[in-house]
Formats: sequence, C-alpha cells, structure tokens
Amino acid sequence: MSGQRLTTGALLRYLRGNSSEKAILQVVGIKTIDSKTDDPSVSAKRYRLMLSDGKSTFSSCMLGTQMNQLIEMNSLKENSIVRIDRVMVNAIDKQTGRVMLMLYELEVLQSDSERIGDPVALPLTDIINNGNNNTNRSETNDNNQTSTTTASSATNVIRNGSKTLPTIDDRNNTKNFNGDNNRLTAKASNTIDKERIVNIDTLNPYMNKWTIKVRVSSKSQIRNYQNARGPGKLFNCDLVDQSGEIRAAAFNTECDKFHSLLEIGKVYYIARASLKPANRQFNSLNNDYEMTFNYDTCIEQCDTDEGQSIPQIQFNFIPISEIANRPANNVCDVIGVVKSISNIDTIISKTSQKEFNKRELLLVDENASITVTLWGQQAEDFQNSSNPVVAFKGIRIGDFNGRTLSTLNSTLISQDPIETQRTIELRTWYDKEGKLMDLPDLSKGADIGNQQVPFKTLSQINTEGLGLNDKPDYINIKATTTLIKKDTAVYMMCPEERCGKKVVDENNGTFRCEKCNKTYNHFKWSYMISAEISDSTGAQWISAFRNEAETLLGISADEFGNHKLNQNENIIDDIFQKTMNRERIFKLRIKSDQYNDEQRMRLTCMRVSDIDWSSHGRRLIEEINQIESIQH
Amino acid sequence: MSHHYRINGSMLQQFNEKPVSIIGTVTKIHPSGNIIDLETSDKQHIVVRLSEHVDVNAGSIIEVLGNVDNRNQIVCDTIVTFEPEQTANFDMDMYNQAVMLFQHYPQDYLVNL
Repeated sequence: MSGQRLTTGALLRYLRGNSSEKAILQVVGIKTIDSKTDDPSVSAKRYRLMLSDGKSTFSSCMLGTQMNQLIEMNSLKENSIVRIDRVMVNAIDKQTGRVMLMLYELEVLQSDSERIGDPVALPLTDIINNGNNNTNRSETNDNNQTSTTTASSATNVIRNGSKTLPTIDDRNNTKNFNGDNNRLTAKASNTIDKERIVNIDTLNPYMNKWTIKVRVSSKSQIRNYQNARGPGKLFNCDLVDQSGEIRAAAFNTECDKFHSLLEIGKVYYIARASLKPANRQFNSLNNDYEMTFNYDTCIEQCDTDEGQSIPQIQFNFIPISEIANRPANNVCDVIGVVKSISNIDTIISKTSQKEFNKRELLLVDENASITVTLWGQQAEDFQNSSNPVVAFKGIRIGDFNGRTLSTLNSTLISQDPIETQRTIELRTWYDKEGKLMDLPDLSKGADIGNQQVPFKTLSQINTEGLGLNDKPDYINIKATTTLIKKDTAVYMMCPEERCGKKVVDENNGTFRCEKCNKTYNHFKWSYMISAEISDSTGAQWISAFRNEAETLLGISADEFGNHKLNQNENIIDDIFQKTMNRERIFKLRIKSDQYNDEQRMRLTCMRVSDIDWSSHGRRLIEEINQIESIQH
Repeated sequence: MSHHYRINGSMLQQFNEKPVSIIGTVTKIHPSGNIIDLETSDKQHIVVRLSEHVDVNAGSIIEVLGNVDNRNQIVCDTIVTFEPEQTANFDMDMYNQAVMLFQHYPQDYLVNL
C-alpha cells in the first residue's frame, strides 16, 4: 500500500536539464560500486540507483556518498519512494551523449512499497547501454563501457537534435559540437579543449572529458621506490584554482615526462587524468579525490596573462581555538598576526648532534593565541616586519603543554597573503584592538578542563596501558560513583594562600603548619576525596580536590567540614548517597608514579559534569559507524 | 512490560500486527479526541487510534505503545506523556538514528526482557 504518487515524466525533464524540480521517484534497483583505494580504513562505496517515475526508468543515477547510510541502515532500498531535493546532470561522454544523474540530496518518503506501475527504460539506447533496452541493472556494468564502442548511427541521432534523446548538446552548444566534431572523435587527441574548463571541486571519477586550468602550488622531488612489481619512481604536486585544490601524482614514464615540465607557480591546462579517492594517510588536501597522470594525460602551459585569475595557493584555515580540538601530528592551515617573535636560536639535537636553527613566534587571531616554531631555512628566511599577518599551509599540530604548531619542510609560509580576505580582517582587528588583548594561549598548558579528550571505558585503562607513558593521559569516562572514603573526605588545611599543607590541631584553638612554620588560630577546610567509580567494564579509585570535589558532592568543603565537626552523620550519609546515585562524565588525568620501587597508578579528577545525552548518543552512533566501516 | 519494538514511521508496514513503540510529536488531534496525527522521528506522519479520549497537547512529544493494524495505523493501548522540561532537549534526529540501528542489529538490541 503505497499512497504515494510518482512524478511521471520527471526523469526525462531532469535529463533535459530541469534540475530544479523536486520529483517523487521510486528506486527500482541498487548497485554497489566499490572504488579501489589504498587506504583500507576508507570505505569507498558508491551506490548506483535505477529510478522510476512510474512510466520510465533511468539506471545511471549516482547517490551522493553522504547518503550512503540510508542504504546501509536499510531505510533506502528497492521500491523505496524518494523525493529528489537536489540533483545535477553530468555529461559522461559528449560524443555519445551519455549522461548521469548525480543525486546530491534526497529524502526517503517511504522505505517499503510495492512496485508502482510498469515502467520501461527511457528510449535512450546510446545513453544507457549500447542498445540493451530494459536491461536488468544487475547484469550490466556500465563502468566498463567506453565511448568508442558506440555505434556511429546512434551518434547521428543525437546530432540531429532529436527531441526524444536528451543530451547535454541539446541544451548547450550544438554549434560547438558540430564544429569541433573531428577533433572530438579523434582518439588520444593531443589537443586540450579549452572550451570545457571545469572547476577542481567538480572533478570526480565519473567524468570522462574535462579540462582544468590550475596553478602548481607545490611539487615534490622525484622519489624512487620498490614494491612487489619492481622498482618505480613518482612525484607529487598540488594544483589549485579558484574553486579548490587537488593533489596529483605521476609514476614512472609520466613521472619523467611531467616532472621537469611542471614548474611551481606556473599555470597549466590539464586534461585526461585518473581520479580516485584521496589517500588520507598521505594527503590532507581539501578534496575527496586525488589525481594520477596517465598515458593519455595532456598538460599545456598557459600564457601568463591568461593564468592571472588562478590564485597562487588555496587555504583552508581553521581558527586557532579549533586547534585545541584537533589531534596532535595532524596538519592544518592557519592564519594570524605575529604578536611577538624570538631571535634565531641554534640548538643541537641530542640524538643526531646536528645543529638546528629555530625561531618561536606567538600567533594570535580574534579568539586565541598559540606558539609557532619555525625550523631551519624557514626560521632563517622569516622576515620580521612589524606584526605581520602570516598564513601557514600544512603546518603540524603538536601537543607540548597543550597545543603548539611546528613547521615541516613542506609547510608553506605566506606573509600578508592576498588570496584571502582574512589578511585584511586580521590586520584591521589587530591594529584596532587585538594588540592590546590578552588572549587565551593554547600553548600554556592551562585549562585541560576545556580540551576535548577521548572517551574510554574503565577496563581500557588497563588494556591500553594508559598512564604508563612519560606524559599523563587524559580521558573521559562515563561512570557512577560507587564508594567514597568518608573519614578522609576533608582535612584541615593551612589558611596561607598556596600552602595547602595539613595543619595540626593543637586542641587549644590554634593550628600549626609545619611547612610555613607558623601557628594560626584558624584554618580552611579542603577536599581530598578518594572515591571509587564504576562503569559496565570495571572500577577504579580516583582522587578529587577543590572545585571538582565540590561539584561531585554538591556542597563546599567548608559546609562539609562543619557537618563533620557537628557530627551530622545523617546529613553526611545523605550527601554521599546523592553523589553515588548519579552517573556522570569524569575527565581523568592518569599517570603512574614510582613510589618506593612500586608503580602506582594515580587517577585524578580534572572535571566532573553531567551527561549530555544527546552528545553521548551521537558519540555512540559515531563509534558504531566506525566499527561498521572497518568490517566492510 | 511486554516486548514493544521501537520503530519509526517508515517501518510501520514491516511491523504489521506487531506490538510497537513509536515516539513522535503530536501534530493534530481530531475533534473526536480519539484519533491523533503524529509526526514520527523520521518526519513521517502517521495516525494513532485511541480507545478512549486522552489529554495530549498538540506539539508535545509522546510515546505510543500499541499495535500496527492493516491500515498502517497504530491501535494504541498506552500513551506515555512527558513534562515539557523533560522533552525540551530531546534529540529526535538522534533517536531516529538509534531506531534505525536497532533494526540494523536486531541481535544486539534485545526487545524481549
């Protein structure tokens, strides 16, 4: 029982170019396409759908990967009824007029349904499958079809502009198509079609004919390698245009062919290269794909004046404050004003006995500041004009004392970059107010309380050997307090600021502090909670002091101390009961200490907070998805 | 407590004649008071038939326990209502993802207690 009516004729209208329509269609077939990728942790599934509008079907519909989970969660399946919210027609092959529908956004209106109507494949023999009408989608593999197998008679039909065969040509330049006919039909042509320039950010593996106009923003040296197939060589380069960036690689013959041809900073037309999902292990550029130059690839230099519109470099800045949330050893792009800079320091590496030049600067933006270390040539070359705006591309995040940034050989440093309006924004802000502000410094190790740390279970502390490294580990645990040591919950503390030592009660109204060597007639109550927390995997003892203990118990140390003095056992028991009945998030610092030849694990509570169930749920869903993708 | 399967709007058909639990927002209460329209966690609209008049407010989030009949409606035997403070931060989208997960991994999410 469907109750949904399909938008008949919508498929033809989409293919004719009317992509603004939000049609209701039925999924009549789903095919999984696995992309080969070097990185096994990246699931590169792509789903191809056959859609029906009740009257006709079209089998070349690619589902945007952000919607893959609809299929994987069984919400989108055969016979599901969907509403297309955003779609684009993609020309795969201009010669034959083959097109593909890219489904960027859709909504599942009804998961389960019966087949509506008796749709037949659109009469587009040369678009779908070389004359195989009504082919069952599971029997064909369109990805292997090439344009050269198309019969020329089919091409003729399109050129005549037949109304029943929608192609990109119909909508655009029939004149262009006819005029350039000879050039286009030539296989492995050596000319680059400069009419068909596309943006880097539209490149995907399903496009056959494209040309890009890009600037080489970086190029690596040729590297030799050995693998199972024998020796080889490669180089990488990064390409940018006004829409984005992409990494390209060339191997062996192509490596030799193109390495000397491409110069950093120059603009080139590039056509016909392969695209595959980006290998995130090595490529952190902002593009889902990366390019490989192959035998057919054409590269032609562009005249200087024609290439002026292409930017020198593509930045993906994150605010300095966001660096706190990124893990160490990742790279990022960042921009800020240099508030201060040290002189060049020469240090000698302990391990290699080599001399290194380094320079540290304090980089600030509107919300935070961070220490940046420049190394070697970059330290020497840095021109220190007064508080310049500096952008870093591909700079490494370190976690010394919080967060720091450190340049790599491959890091690009650009002073007062013109490619981004952030330069002007920062300049104006700094000159007006920034130079006077005291911003939170990510490199001062402070405020572990606000930094994101991973969630673990109590048993993982043992299984992962947390706390056994040189530096303490910080984790979040969702747990319940199961025991609290009552007698030692508070102690009488020296009232002297920053002393913290326990005082001796002289029992005559005075209290002696051995550390300060003074006697006082008052003291301060201070928390020193020893509590056991438990989750479904185990239990651990933790310590909590000051603010965290106060949050945990819900009353101040002073009040608690008074209850203790007045021997209000019931009230104290009540306080403990309330504490032990609540599940909370504990941020713990874990470090093992050597104490008289014995290793002891010390778990200190840095922060206690209530559980935000929405975040927690999303975290679990994320973890489940990660487990799923590994299994695939 | 009997074993109600947690589902959303798109799953109604699958659970025909089975006892289910659906959480959603009340969009319309029919004048008779015995039929309410519910927008489920996956933004579907379903019809819930009550055996007697129940006091619910339009726009409030409720949980409906009942059976799916063959008209793709819920015949409800119990309604769980919540205080506005309790549902103020309810993440309906996340609940929907959880419901889909339950279906995806039936061996891991127990229904019979």
